[in-house]
Amino acid sequence: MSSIWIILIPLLPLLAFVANGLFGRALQRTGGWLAVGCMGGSALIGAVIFFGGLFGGITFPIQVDLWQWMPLGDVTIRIGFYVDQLTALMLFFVTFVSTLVFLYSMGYMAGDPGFNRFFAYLGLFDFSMLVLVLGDSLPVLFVGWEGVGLCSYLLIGYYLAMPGAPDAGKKAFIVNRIGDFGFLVAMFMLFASVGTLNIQEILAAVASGAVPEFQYSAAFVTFLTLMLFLGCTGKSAQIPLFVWLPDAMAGPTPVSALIHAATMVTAGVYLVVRLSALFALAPATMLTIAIVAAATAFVAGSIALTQKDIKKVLAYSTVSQLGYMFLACGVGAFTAGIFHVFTHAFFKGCLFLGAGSVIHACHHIQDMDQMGGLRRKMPATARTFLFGSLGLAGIVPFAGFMSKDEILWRVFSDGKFILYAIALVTAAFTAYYAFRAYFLTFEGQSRLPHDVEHHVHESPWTMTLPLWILGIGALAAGVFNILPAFGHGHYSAINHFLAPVVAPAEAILAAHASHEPIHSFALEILLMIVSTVVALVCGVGLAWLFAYKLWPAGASRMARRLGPLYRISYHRWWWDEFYNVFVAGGLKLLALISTLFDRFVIDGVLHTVAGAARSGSRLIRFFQNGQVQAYALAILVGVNLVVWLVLWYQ
Amino acid sequence: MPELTNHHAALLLLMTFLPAVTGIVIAAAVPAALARTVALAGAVLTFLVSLTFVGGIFGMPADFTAAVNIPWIERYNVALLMGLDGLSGSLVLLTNVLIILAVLGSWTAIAARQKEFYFYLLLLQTGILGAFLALDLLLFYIFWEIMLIPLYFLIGIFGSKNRIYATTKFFLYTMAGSLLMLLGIIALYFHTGSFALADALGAAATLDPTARLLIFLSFVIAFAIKVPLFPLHTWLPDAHTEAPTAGSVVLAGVLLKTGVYGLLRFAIPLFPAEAARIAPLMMLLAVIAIIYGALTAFAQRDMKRLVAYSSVSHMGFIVLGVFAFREAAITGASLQMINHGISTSGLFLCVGYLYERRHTRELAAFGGLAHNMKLYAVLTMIMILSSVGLPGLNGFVGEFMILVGAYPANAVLTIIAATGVILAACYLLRLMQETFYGPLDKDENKVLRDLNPRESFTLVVLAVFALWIGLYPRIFTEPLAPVSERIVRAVEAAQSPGTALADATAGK
Repeated sequence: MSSIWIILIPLLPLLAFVANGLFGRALQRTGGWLAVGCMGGSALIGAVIFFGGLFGGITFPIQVDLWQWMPLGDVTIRIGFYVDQLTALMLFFVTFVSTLVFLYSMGYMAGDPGFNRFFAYLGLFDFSMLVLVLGDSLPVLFVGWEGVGLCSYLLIGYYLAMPGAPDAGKKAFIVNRIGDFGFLVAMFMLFASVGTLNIQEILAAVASGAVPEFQYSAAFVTFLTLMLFLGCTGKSAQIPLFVWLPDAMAGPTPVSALIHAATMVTAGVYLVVRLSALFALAPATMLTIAIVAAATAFVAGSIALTQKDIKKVLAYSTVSQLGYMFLACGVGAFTAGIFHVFTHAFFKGCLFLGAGSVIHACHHIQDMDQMGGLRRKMPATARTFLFGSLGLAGIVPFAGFMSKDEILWRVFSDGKFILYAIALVTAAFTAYYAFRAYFLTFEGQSRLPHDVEHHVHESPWTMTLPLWILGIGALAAGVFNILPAFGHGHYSAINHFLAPVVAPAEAILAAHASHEPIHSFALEILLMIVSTVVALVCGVGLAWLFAYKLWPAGASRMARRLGPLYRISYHRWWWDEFYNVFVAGGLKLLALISTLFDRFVIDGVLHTVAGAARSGSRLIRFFQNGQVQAYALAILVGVNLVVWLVLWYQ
Repeated sequence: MPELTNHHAALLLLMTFLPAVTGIVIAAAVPAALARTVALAGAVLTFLVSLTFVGGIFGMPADFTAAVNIPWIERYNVALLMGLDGLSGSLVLLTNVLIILAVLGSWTAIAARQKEFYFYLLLLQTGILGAFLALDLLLFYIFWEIMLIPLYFLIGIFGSKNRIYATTKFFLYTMAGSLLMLLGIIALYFHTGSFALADALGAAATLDPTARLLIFLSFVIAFAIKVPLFPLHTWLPDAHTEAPTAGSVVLAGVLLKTGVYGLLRFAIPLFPAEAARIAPLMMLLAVIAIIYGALTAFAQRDMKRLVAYSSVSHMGFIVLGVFAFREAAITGASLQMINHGISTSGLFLCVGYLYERRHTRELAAFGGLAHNMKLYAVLTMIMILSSVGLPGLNGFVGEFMILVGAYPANAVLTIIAATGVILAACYLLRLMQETFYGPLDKDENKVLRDLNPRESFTLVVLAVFALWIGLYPRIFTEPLAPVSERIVRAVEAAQSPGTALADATAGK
């Protein structure tokens, strides 16, 4: 694989950005097709690398060294790319899903006045995302990391005049910056201790035991990895920084599918797995990650149960699913985490695009209370949304089942039974809200306003084709990594594929493990049955009951009966209100205090000094009044005084 | 090392005084209508002359051998000693570029008393260039004062409503500082008998400790006022708010840098041990400036005041880098001077263009401008992102080098300083949002036209540099690195003479 192909992967989307950004007015719709073509080209290369690696024929790592970037004393940070199995997997699904979303946007954004601006942003996004995945050093990765954040900001605020959209964009950027602060501090610490920021060099140096801080200071390693994880909580929307993601739904729906579900938000998981050998050295951090992740999965899942806005349901679902991915990392099941990233891209991408198709048809109505019965008018969207829901809900043998059950089993076998229980309850939540959304939107009677209902129609092929492809992926993507329980792991292709990447971390974890992981084939199958039954009965069954059979009377009766629990969920645990008062309010208060300090204390002192000088000068001015007689008098008095003094002294 | 020749010296003198001469010609002999054209020609010519130094003379010997050495007041051993190295050379180029942009930015904004305006502007340029090039303390002081007077008039005559207060405050503040510095220079002269920096370098170490500390402090206070460093900064927001656009561009772009430059060229090399002693205090003040400036910026309602306080915050990063005394940090701080010159000058140009159209700088007066001023929105966005430190643009490279370098010197302060990146996003995105986002609902804003080619040119130039430094900073850091390395060596040697000697004998 020559390096020019690797460089082309991010370069093609950049070309789409430049073309649409500079020549958008001339290109019009051609600009969109150009972007689809560029992205498709990247996807082709991505697929060749991934499948070439999976089936043999391409050997990793592939390294591309580009140019010298920042001098840091004696060390120079270089810009370069590094492709190993993990990169290849990320490259594949990022470019693949991106191409589908680009194509979908040709339909969704048709006729929008900012059509080319939209594709420019998308191109820049994919460029940044691919730099993030390809970067061989942390600062290069950080370029992508902040670049995707910028594009996310631009795309959330894409509808410039829409109430709330600019605020949501700003919130996303600032909250992400809090995480980026952690990332920055981690880089300072790594550079100070290891002397390089190249990822492979860091991993090699730490593994060789040449870095004293990593050998002797648990506090150092723990703090370092926690700072990195802070970065991940920002980008990947975990507690305490998840609040921006639901607001980010103000952006156009293809953006929600691509950036806020399939790709960007999984960057944190990617980072943890990329640096898994560092995290493995910090058991306290691993435990923190697992707990935070389980809590996030649960909280976000519980919120998704009652939201009325179809995109909000999917947004909280994404936060919850990201929780699963980190939970996997927290118990050392890094490949399981990445595989959930992979399957999630398919089923959540499918669901978001399906929601977009509905919103597009319903003239931007997003409230599921006003939908219903859309299956009859939008059969393709309904069918693919069902596929996506099956994938998300974790029903045997679809994609979500393959990835999520692996995570559940690994949490259990690691002996973290409480976290397992939380994750299992969350699995029930997941199945419930997924099917609740399906039933409310596509089944039952139509509740759309009449003027809207007349116009509802199935979306054009540019939108349904991506839906079908992702829908099939949501059903079938599990084949890439059949649960190890079936066939002794022979069919767990992704696990094998990623084994070299995570082997160092797993070796460290195994060496330090206080107990053997639980191995029991029978138990594993039993838990699988448990989770399936839970998903089917507590999830799909209850959703059928409350969102279809007994809807709406039974549902509201149930809501009343649940009382405070319902309100906690519906009001999203009041996280936003809390942050608005304590964080945003605190910041404003501090800003006000420093402004007042500036005006009254610093300038106050200054003006007092100036005032004193002015009074002093007034005193002097009294004498310097310009009257020659007065001066003469003064001279007379003065001279006399001197003469008298001199005489008296003698 | 290229030989210093008369040819170089002549070019150096030509470049320094060309702006002033052009200014005098404008004031004396050019009709008002042509003033801006002649000023532009002079500025461009000055820039072209300075281009001849790139790569050539960018390597002043470590002992500050001057390229220009003309006896002047022989009785007091004052000479016209001037020369440039990577640090001063980079700042000279920055100055010459920004003056061109300042002239272009004032093209239509200054409609009355044009001859005076361009006279002061170009005189200011000579003052700044001289200050960057002087290798003689008295000469430096003279140029330092020359900078003061034109800016006093630029703000006092061409400024907005509250200009007299602002210009008086600016003048008194900087005057107080420079008088202190003059005392320091004279005290040093009585000890060494020469104003030449090269002579003072060796002699300063032989002063008694108290005298050394006092003289050092007199320099540091003068420079800290100019930077400006918390709590000596309050003249800056007022001066910026009232100054005409060109004044703000030059003030933020290069004038503040003369303070940092003074630290790097004079105060620290002359008194490395004292510098090391007060480094913790300076780093602390720098971090306070970062946070405090950012918080205050967040509360501003006037666009220019917002950018001015952001300058306080950004200059805090630079001072932090300087006093970390690590090579990466000082090189980063030097680079950040250029970066700040690009982004903040750019932002002041942006605000100026809007002010020229709308005659207000109140954030509340705007909103939704991205609908009808697309090009303006894009270019302002780039300046904001450069200022916010987005990786891939220049600001990140400088900040990152500073913080990575400062971390080993003081981890806690560096981590606190890094929270500045969060606050920067808060106030700069607020600027972005209140100006460009939302509905275009005010009638006065609906008729605003987008940037014309002249205006876009000024911002595109800055944007190109922002991207260039962001992706390939080597060309810019290479001339800076040897200077920072020398400073770090000097400070290290002063802190532990024993080890320095050992290093020297070991051939290090």
